Amino acid sequence: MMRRASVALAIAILAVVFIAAAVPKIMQPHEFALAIYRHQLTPGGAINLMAVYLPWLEVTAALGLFLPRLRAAAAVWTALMLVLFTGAIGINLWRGLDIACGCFTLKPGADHMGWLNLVRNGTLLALTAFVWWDARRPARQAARR
Amino acid sequence: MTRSASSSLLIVIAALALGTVANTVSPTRIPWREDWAHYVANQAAKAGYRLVTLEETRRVIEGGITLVLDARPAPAFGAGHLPGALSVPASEAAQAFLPYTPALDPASPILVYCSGQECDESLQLAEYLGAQGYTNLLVFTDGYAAWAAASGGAP
Repeated sequence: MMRRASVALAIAILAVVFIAAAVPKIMQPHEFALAIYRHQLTPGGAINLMAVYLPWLEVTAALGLFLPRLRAAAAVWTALMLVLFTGAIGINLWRGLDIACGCFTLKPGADHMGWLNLVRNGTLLALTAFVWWDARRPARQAARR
Repeated sequence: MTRSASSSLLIVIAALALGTVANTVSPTRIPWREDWAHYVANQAAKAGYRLVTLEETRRVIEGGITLVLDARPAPAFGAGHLPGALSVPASEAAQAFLPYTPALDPASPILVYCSGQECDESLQLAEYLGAQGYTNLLVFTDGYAAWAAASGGAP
């Protein structure tokens, strides 16, 4: 009971975070492409493709978390995106680039990224791992029988 | 195909389909490919800023009458900058440029730069200066990387 409630809460948090992150990127694809450009990590030819498709992957993975059949796969995609975002932020903090993350808002005066972004993403990654671990329980139990 | 592989594929295909439809019908759709390699130069030219080459930048600096502003974060400026440049990070342009505003004529030439073609901080700073009424803006898009390479790594 406790475990099911914890998993439900983790799924709700992850879904809200990812959908909230996706909406401004879908509404303002040029501004999101500019944010990707400023990170100076993506080849020019891929920037607009990433700006178009990444937010929708955030949405489909977030919605997939609610469906038991898709939950484990959705958790994997969520984790991969978190690793991607965390890597980008970490590399650019190390480079000393003073830019906005582009994670949740694309407004011109948005806060610039800092080490707290990494802490936040680490927490979300832990939640994702927990959801994935729970989604894999039936498979592990079947394998033991 | 395993169940997890088919689930993964379903999530990705749904994202690709939704993204394709959205970027086809949306009023804010973007081109599938854009010339990001020349983004700063193209935007600067559209805004009416004069683009300057490395040689022109050298002459500007030797002339000594143009204000040269480094739009990069302060640590990058500290590690090396164009001779005579002042640090005015684009992310804090309003505060960083404030000390210079009283003495500066709006028609005074101002040259801005950042690290190179891949950064748009020079464009952001030029846009800020343009909004403040400065009309004679020069943008050195090849930036500090080109200057340092031509100088053999010396600032």
